[in-house]
Amino acid sequence: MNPPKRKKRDWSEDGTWDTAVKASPAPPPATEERRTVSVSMDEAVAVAAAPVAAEGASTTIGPSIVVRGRLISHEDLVVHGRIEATLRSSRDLRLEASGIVLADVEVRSATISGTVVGSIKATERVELTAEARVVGDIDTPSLVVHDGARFRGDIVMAGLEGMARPAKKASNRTAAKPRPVAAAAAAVVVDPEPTPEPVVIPPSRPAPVVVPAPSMGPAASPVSPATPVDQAPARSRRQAAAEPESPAPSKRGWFSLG
Amino acid sequence: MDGTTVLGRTIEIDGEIEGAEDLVIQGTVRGRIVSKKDVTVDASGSVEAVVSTHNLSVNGRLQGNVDATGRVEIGDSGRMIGDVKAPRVVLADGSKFRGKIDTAQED
Amino acid sequence: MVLGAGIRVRGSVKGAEDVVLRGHVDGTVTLPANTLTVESGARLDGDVDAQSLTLRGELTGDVSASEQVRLDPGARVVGDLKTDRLVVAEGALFQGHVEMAFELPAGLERKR
Repeated sequence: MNPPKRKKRDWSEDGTWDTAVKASPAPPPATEERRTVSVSMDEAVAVAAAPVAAEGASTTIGPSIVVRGRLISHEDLVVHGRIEATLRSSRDLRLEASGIVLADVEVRSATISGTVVGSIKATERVELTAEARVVGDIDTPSLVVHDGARFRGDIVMAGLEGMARPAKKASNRTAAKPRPVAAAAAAVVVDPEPTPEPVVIPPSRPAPVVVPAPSMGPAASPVSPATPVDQAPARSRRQAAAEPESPAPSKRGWFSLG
Repeated sequence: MDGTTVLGRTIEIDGEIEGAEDLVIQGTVRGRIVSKKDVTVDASGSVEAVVSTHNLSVNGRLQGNVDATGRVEIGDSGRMIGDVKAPRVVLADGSKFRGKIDTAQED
Repeated sequence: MVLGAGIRVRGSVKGAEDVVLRGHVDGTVTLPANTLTVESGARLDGDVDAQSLTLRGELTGDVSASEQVRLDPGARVVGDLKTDRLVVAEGALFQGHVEMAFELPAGLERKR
């Protein structure tokens, strides 16, 4: 793991902070003792890795860390703690068994051993290990699910366009949906709870932790699927197929044969 | 592709089976069977279907009309109700059959 | 029981033994206490109700498996899955809803 690098703050186009959270390697999770820091918009400090982050750069979010708001990273993230922030990373996310993400995730690849309540969108790969607990939708070109993983939600993978079911194809079966381009056009949505959120920082913390004000939560969650409207009529479609003309002789018992 | 498909005793198919390989029926088929190869109804098999095939061998029960391009044989444990149209028909001693047999190839 | 590659079934298939599908079934498959295997090159257009399902071929339909669904490399599935154990191998493609019964850690259920 590289030593954390201090980066200057950087405004993104929509006026929110592009930030990455820098935290120490996991401090011992021994006690529930947490330091809570409220960060307002004005005094937020950004430690954003440049988009061209060095290969191998990595951030670990320790088990006692809670991040709220929005988290943008250009280096690998290892999460033992809790993220209640929309998480976007051009690189990889590893959510450890103790980790919890309660928001939508957009990353290059995600390996999930913890709990996610939110959608996961990966440009390369999603892997759910045996300990994963995920409620939400997954959009990825490549998926691995290990025995023991628990999941509820929709899965969207490209490459099945020709297979949509006749009855469902016409509407919103996601098969034919073009993959959104990197959520570039994500609209800005006002966070439903626009109060400054606390940041919890571990006791021993070499690098500053940055959390943007949560009021700018971007709508990085285009993945929520349209609710299927047409599920009911899809069921009976095949039943019609199987009625051939009935065999000619009428039903007289087998044992009436001479 | 070559091969033999055996529909096991507990298998029940309602509908249509199309086969380009031999078919052995030990379970139940209701509907229609269309095969370019051979169809065998084993002693445990029960078929209520219109059958169109090359060769047919019935040792179980078959109810339905049969149109075969080869040979139809009702084995000694076979029971069949239906009309048979085939160039060659064999009813084994002990078999039971009710229906019409037409071995003339009018077409 | 093997439904060979040359076999096509239009209709329902029911059974009390394991079934290996190499051909094409257009209809429902019901094997309440047994395993259905859809081999590479095989195709099933219809719903599956089985104890276990192993897929290497194509499936268009909804699956309810009381024990396990396994999507091997090469599997292509469009449909909804309901099962308690799911294994998806790299190289499997799936599109649809997955429903597994489980509880989230306390306090997380209503977070969204």
